[in-house]
Amino acid sequence: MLLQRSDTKTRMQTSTVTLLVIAAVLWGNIEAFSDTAVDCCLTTNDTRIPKQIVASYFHQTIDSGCPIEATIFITKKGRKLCAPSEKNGWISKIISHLDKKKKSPQ
Amino acid sequence: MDFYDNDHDYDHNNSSNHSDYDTDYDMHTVCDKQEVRSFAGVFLPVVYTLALILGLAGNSLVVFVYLSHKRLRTLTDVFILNLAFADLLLLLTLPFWAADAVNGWEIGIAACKITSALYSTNFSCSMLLLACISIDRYRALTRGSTATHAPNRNNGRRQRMIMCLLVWGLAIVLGLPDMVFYTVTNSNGRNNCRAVYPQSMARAAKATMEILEVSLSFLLPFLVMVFCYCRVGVALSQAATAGVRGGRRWRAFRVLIAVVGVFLLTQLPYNLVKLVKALDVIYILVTECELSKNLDRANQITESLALTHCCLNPMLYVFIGSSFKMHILKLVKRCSQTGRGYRHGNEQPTVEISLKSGTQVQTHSLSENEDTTTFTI
Repeated sequence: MLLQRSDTKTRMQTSTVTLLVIAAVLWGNIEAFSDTAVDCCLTTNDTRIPKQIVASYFHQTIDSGCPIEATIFITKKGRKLCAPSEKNGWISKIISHLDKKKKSPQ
Repeated sequence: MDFYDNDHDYDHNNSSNHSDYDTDYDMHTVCDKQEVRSFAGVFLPVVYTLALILGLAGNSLVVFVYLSHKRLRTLTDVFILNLAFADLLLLLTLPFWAADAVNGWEIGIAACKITSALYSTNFSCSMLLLACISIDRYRALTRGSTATHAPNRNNGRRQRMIMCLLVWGLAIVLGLPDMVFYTVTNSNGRNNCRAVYPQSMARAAKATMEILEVSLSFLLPFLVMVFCYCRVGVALSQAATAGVRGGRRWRAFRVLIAVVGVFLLTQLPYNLVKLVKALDVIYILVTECELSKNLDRANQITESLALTHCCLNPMLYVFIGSSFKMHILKLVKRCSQTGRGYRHGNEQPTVEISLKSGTQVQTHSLSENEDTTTFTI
């Protein structure tokens, strides 16, 4: 009787340990659905864009579900161009130009 | 300042070239995935509706029959009933995801958190229970005839309660991160219910962890199942040499192969896609728009496939089992008896034979232990 009881105990323990291991491994990686396809820049181009073709801009963040960070310039023709997110010379110039234009619409 | 001074020049000389510039920049424009979203808006609602109908029918039949007519004799019985509950709860989140695929998430952050947590809790619960069932079936073979009678009725009931609480507790804990991190974000003028992780976590560390988890979340339950069922299969073939007829042995084998095969078929493609996506997070492999779109489509299709597993569970674990078939036939008979006499009466013996074959296989490998028909194949 004693032997049998300890047998039950070890059986419980093995299955408990197995469960815990599986659970530890499952942790955090089961993400719910809704991997809605998001429009993103996949690569960027550091070539200067003439500022007069740009109508507006916005920043692409990883939070929004995109693989990289980027600055997106929307041209007057409605094209969305991908520039690096770093605030290097030409990018910050166009941004400040657009911000100024926004503040004082002609 | 040079830059600005040149602007007028640039404007005058190159104004005709601006359209050329636009086309030169072709490689680095935003990848427009409207196409993929339109596909998802049709494909996902159709698949989810089918899954919902089949899954609700199968799983609620399991719950109904178990609760009304079948005694929960073994741990596996208890696990199967819990599996049906988990699958039902999982299926109930599908209408929300279907609506999300069509219109985006319009019902608020609370609903987003609850639906996501419910989904992942029940998905992991389902996985844990499948592993549990295989462990219990394996144990039914390895435990000697002496040990089986040891736990008295109360002891067995307590053990079941503990196991169930453990499984559900773990599953709920596994669902908690979703509760925390899922939120509604807006991109491309569309609301999405998705996980937003804190930026503090290093990208490479996070992705490496994800790869480990992705491969193991599928691999570990799979390996547990393969290990347990291989041992069961070996025991069955030994039982066969001890006198069980070939056809009956094949019948039992078929169930084991179906259980493992369907798990592999439905879960492997989804996990492969997940692995590729995790690799992409580290190495940024996907830089072409067309490839990225295909990966998104593959993700949607394999995810739906992975989900069909919860509709197949009732068939794999319950309806194939002969004892359950008998219970359903009894139910049908009871219904038809009131209507048109006793027509189904002659079906009973054949079913009983198949039930006997199940126990026969079992008892041969278990040294005539009547109590341990733990898995009724």
